[in-house]
Amino acid sequence: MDLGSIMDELATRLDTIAGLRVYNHPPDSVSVPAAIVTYPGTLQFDKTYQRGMDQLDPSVVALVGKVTTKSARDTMAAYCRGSGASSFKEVLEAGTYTSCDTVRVVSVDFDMVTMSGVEYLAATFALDITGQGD
Amino acid sequence: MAFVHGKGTFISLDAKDLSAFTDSSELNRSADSHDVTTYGKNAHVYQGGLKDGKASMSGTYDNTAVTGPRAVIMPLLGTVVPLIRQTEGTGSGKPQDAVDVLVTGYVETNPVADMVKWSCEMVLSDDVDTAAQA
Repeated sequence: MDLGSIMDELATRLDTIAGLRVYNHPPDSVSVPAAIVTYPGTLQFDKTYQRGMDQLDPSVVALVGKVTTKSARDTMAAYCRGSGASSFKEVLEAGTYTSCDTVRVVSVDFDMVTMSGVEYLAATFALDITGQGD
Repeated sequence: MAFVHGKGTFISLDAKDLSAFTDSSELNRSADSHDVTTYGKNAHVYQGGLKDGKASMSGTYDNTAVTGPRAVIMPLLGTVVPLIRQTEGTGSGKPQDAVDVLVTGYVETNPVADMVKWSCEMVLSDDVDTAAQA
């Protein structure tokens, strides 16, 4: 699997969500609401014999408005739903990918992220991706 | 001498390469024992009998239509077909076990939070050819 191609395809899928600004790698600056496809914590080789399968766990970080605003909460709630047009899980898992075989959104963790002096409500979506070894 | 990693293992059933879908395999060889202890002995005395054995393999399910584990193994249930296992991978002079096996079981396991897995059970039929690879 090619990591860059996977991050590109994930970003392309997320770009179908209306109003969301999508970054296919960590950017210098962000305009919210935004989704940032980040690097995996681990890329595991040799999950089967003869380079048959690899597995990796990239994350997608969602940033919405200031953490103290209700609109930020409502926007994030839509992204975190299990289904729906703005659901990261549904949008990512419904995709057809050429760079990998399976994409699953495993979980989401919430946090606050400070960028340019502003505290944004953030959510990190943990992904589990498998594909052919190469 | 050197330790050998399992990732390069080759395994095929009925001449179909299943390596890329397999993450574990075993070839268990055994022999019958006959107790020939007679009066006057202080310990059992044994004589060897017929050789026997079992084989198993398991891995991650792949829906490849013709060469995936389901497509290959399910039609072979109850039939005797050749199994080839190359413990150190493919290469001239490397060890190989070639034996006919009766395919006795095929299992697909679907955990909710993981990949679909499969496993196959076999019993050895006749001698194992342990000649190294040509």
